[in-house]
Amino acid sequence: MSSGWNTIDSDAGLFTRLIEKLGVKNIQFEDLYSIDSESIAQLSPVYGVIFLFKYSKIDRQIAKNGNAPITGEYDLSYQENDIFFGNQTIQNACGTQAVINILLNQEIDLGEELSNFKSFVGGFDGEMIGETISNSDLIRSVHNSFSTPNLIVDEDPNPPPEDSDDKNDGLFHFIGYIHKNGFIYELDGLKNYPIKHDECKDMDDFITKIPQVLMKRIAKYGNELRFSCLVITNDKLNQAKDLGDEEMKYQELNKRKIWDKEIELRQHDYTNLFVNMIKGISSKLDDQQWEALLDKARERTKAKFK
Amino acid sequence: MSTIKFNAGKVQYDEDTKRCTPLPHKGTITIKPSADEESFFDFIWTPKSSSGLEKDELLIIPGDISFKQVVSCKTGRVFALTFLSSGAKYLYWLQDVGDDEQLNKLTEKDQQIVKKIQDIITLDDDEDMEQESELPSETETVKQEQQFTLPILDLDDAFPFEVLQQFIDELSEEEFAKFIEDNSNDLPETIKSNPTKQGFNDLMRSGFFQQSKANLSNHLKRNNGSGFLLAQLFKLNYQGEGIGNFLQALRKSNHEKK
Repeated sequence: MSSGWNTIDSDAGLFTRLIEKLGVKNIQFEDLYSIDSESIAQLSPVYGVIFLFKYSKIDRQIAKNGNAPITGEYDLSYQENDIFFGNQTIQNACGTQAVINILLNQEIDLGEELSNFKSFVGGFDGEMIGETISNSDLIRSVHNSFSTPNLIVDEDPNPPPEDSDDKNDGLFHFIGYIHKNGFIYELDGLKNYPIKHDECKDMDDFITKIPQVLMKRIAKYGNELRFSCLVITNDKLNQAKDLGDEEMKYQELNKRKIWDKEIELRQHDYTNLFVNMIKGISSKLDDQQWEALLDKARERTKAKFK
Repeated sequence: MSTIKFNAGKVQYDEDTKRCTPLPHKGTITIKPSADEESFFDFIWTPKSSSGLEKDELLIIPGDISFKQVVSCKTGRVFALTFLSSGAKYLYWLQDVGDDEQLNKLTEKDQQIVKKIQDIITLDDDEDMEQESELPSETETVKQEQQFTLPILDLDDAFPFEVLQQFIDELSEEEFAKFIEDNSNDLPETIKSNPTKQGFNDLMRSGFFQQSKANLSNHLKRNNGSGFLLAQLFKLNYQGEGIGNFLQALRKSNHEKK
């Protein structure tokens, strides 16, 4: 079963549209299919990388026992070092929070709303910034306009077993990597502070070094393979227009069509529709055909457990 | 569901001589919901530590199991756990205090245990059989094995993409238009404004549709009362927990409308 992954196929499009709606100019997210410098360099300029992974038992244990970084080390003087960092205070908005953490560290056109927000929280610590993000009507309403409604809300009083997140239904967590002040920084809203990694002098250096940082992290999870990476880059459609590159322009326009279609699909819950389809199918079948359909289903179920 | 626990010893079965030999060692049988697979159960026979025997650890899939008294045994209360799909058999004898004179007679406590086990291994929609199997009789052996039905554990097994697609395909243009209209609250704008079967197939192929499907399956599988809530949500006549019962409820609601 891969139900957990399906919804995030379109994250590049989703995040791009989301930050456009927040007013950020000339920024685009791109899926990274292979974690190597060459692939990342093709997308440059690279403002940062989002690493998306299954929040697992290891993370949970570390969080319980002092919450030290898995790799790298905390930068306790991040405020003096001019690193913008907000702790994650709302679980469902972790993607949005990771994106904001990356963007507000960049010299880019944030648009009016986010620029105001940035100056408002100037001097706040991570926790205060996290709180302010969760209280922001603008960010919340933009975030929610992209979310999926849920017909069935889970109110199961039984807590899931300890290792449930190692199976299918666990949480995904988003963290950001940027370069600033001569270092690669990891911005993880569930950690106490920003985490400092290798020295890094510029964007090219970041592109060279970030794959190792990511691979080191991935190695900590053993056999877990559910990772994905997004690169934050410039608006490629604008770039194509500026270059007069018709081929690239066509591709980027096409990409946006797919994004918008996915975003539209995402905004509905299809349980009702599915149930109505079952009813429709049932009404077309006589009892014998209906039983045959169920028998086939039983056989399929049985085959899975053989 | 709570855990079922009772004292029982193992009975060794010799394939060649077809002889059953009860082993004297004390032991316990524990049946509890499986930690790995919802709606399955772990069946564990644990010998007392000094016996030197090994544990039996079995996974029970409701519908694939029978648990019946071996009526030919008159000197004790022996039960056979049979896996219908593989034919594997495990024999145990009940060790709690029994009747002094009629050694194979089940005590009230035994009967309660058997009833509880039957409740677990029987699929909810086979209620008639449940009562029958409470008091085993000699002729029942053959009959019972035929009556068990296997569970459906994923709605996708009953309604994979192909089945849904065929349904849409076979709708006339008129029926399709009506279907879209009836479901307009749950459809994206682009499909509503330009309804095509092709577009609808794309929707069904999307991860979002599949997630709704998987989500419903997972909730129904829990057997924790969510089936009741879902039946209410979809205004169905509740038939019991689980996917099989939910489908039966849907089927019935259709018939009533006719």
